[in-house]
Amino acid sequence: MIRYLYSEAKLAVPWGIFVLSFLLAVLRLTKVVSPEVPEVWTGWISFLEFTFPVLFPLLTFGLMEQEKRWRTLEVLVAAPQRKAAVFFVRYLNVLFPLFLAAAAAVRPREYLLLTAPGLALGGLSLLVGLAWEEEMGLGVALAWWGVSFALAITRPELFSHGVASWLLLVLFSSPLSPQEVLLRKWVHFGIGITFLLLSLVAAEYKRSWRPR
Amino acid sequence: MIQAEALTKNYGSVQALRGVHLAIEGGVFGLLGPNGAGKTTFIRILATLLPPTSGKASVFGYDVVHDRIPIRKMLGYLPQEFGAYPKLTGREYLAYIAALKGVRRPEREIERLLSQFGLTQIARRRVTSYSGGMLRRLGIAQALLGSPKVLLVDEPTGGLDPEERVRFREFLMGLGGERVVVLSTHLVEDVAMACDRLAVLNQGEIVYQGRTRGLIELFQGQVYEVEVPEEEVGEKLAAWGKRVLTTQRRDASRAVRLLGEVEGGRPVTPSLEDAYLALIRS
Repeated sequence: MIRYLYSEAKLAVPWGIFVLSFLLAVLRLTKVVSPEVPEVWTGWISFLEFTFPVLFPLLTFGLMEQEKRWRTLEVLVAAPQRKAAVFFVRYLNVLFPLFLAAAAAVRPREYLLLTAPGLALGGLSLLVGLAWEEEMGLGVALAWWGVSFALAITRPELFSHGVASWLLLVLFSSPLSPQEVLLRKWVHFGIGITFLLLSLVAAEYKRSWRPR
Repeated sequence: MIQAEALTKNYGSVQALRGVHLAIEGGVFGLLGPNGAGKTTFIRILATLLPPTSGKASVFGYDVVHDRIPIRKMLGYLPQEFGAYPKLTGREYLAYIAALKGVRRPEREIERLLSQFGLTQIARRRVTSYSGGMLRRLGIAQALLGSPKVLLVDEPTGGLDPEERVRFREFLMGLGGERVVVLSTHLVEDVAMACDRLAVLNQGEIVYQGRTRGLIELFQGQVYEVEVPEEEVGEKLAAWGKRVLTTQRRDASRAVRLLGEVEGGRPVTPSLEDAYLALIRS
């Protein structure tokens, strides 16, 4: 089991992304960004809320793209091991450096602010990528992220209306209260987990990649 | 052991398999046919990678559609486009596949397979540094992990140099016994060297199944060889058309083998290649 997990980590973890965790930790430890300076900290959180989640679909796309390039799927499918379990372990390996980066960048109370939209975008990218095409998955996720950001800048009043306030991912400029923002982030987290579970069903039935 | 009944597979409007009936017993069985004949589709159906459009296929009594997991537990599979995880070493890759196959304490088996396929010296190297031949040998080693009862090998010698090809065929010859080995290939030499029984698949249909020797006997007395001067070769080949099976250069002439009697020709014992080409062209 340990050897299996080691192999999964070795083949799936994007090692270069640990540099990001290191750099974020340096910024925190040297107090370049610190909650003690509220204006800097607010800007820092806003910046991360916008940029950080996009790493999830990008790494998810990278995972699927390398699987396709390596031509390893057929042997994997023909093995008796459940494919959903294999993909789950592999995906966690891909996400682990991002959770580490979030832990380095912000306080525990702000983890959800960064990881919930990331999970939602990554989950959507994975689901669409496995069920259809990986480019389509990335495209849909980036579109969701882009529209959220554009509306956050141009139409912040939308965030106080019904559905839009729940589906838009970037909430830093919204007039919502911190409790309302937190509630929406939990919903994004739930959407991400749902997409992930649906992705595992798709992975179980994945038998080939569409040729380009 | 492996049975296919009226098996069809359509990709949109293209019929890849058309009502294939096939029974495969133990030993090394050749599935021979030209490119695009439907061999890979058939192998992928047996490997539970593709569902058939209609008809049935079973492996040791298990249905390929409804009993995928039991089939995968007894299966070793080397796909046509075999790829291994380039970040792993050869030994790590085999250990990883052993874990996927649920092989307990695989260390000894991995060492045995590395040794059997001449990979021990390079087992600590990353897979990305392997040549095509090494990668194919790693592919057959992973397929044999867990001592599968059924081994499906799809075009294993494609892209290998002649030395590696001969070496690979020798590996395949030793894999039969109690096990069912299905060797899919378009290379007649692969089947001639490794298989006692074969099926010929052409345009999605089985056009022959039986003993390898039987295919040769089928065309006994129907293959003729004639010497043609080099300057007349173009004209003669055009006139004989599809009857021409093979040609071989001999000094200032060519020995042409044809299906059916020809003026100046003498009957010869057909090779497996002659018989295969005669079957496909007739």
